[in-house]
Amino acid sequence: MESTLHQQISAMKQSLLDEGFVDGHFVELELLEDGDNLHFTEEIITLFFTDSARLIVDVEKELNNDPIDYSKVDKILHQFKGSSSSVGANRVRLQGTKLRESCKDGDVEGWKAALKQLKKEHATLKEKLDTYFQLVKQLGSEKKTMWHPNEGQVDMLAKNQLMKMAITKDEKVEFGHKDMVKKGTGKEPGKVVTEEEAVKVVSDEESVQMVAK
Amino acid sequence: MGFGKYSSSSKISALVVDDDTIIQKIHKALLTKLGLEVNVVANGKEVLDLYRSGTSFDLIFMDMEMPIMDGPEATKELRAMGVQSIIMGVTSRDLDSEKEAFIASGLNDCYMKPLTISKISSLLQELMKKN
Repeated sequence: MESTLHQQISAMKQSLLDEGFVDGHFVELELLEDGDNLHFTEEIITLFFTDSARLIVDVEKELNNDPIDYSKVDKILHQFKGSSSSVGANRVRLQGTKLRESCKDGDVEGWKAALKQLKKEHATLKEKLDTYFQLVKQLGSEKKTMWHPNEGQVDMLAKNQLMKMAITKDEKVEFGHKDMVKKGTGKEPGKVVTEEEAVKVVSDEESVQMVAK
Repeated sequence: MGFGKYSSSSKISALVVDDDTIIQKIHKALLTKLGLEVNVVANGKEVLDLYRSGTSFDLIFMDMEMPIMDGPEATKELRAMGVQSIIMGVTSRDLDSEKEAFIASGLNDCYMKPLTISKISSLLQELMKKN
């Protein structure tokens, strides 16, 4: 049975995805979390916001120069595109692209509007993700996992309970010494899944399913 | 697999070459999670220094744009040295012409940033088939 907190987190993440604030790359960051790195996503996102805030300041500074060195602006925005893409900051990335295009066109009114919107998108995303990570931290203190076979979904697991696996969509990948993924046969609702029993299956659909060996 | 001198075990050894700290961390975490033994450097010159010191890797993930020495230049130098490691370019450049020029420097292939579990899993599958 899912906890209310987990439902809240799932709903929030889905909303962030549906509204285009984040994309699959953000979800993939969460898949990289494990026992050695439980707060990996938050760490990366924090780095991103520090970095991207600096880039926005730099680009604004360049755009306020007379004359404007558009090649320098383009270089900064290319870097901005790379990092926002890497963390799945979708709307921020798109707005950065709009700003870059306005600058390439020499469209002063265009880039002024685009820069303003970029700052807004950046601040909005930061606010939303700050809230998201606060909820995740609250949930992270929960160590037990509950597996409900009817839904095929699982409550949030402590990442250090998951075996490291990687599969491509609809395929099972075997490499190295990793075992093939096996579909679970079901357990009584509410049964605690231990580390030894748990296998994490990750699909491109971004849904996380816990199955029993 | 896993014959690179860097690797102390039977794991595949990989080198992430990128000046972006965020990309370094993401790619290192991704490759480590997939079972590789990973090292990270910030530019092409550091890769050359490693190879000249006798260290080698099974896989190199080479960013295109870096200060001091960029990806295309570092790749050309490595190939000129006779380095046989698999070198995969990684770029956020959209233009085919830029990617093609990068590949022509000696890459085995080129990916768009960021690397993903899916891309690397496919790569590892291919490598295992060949071996």
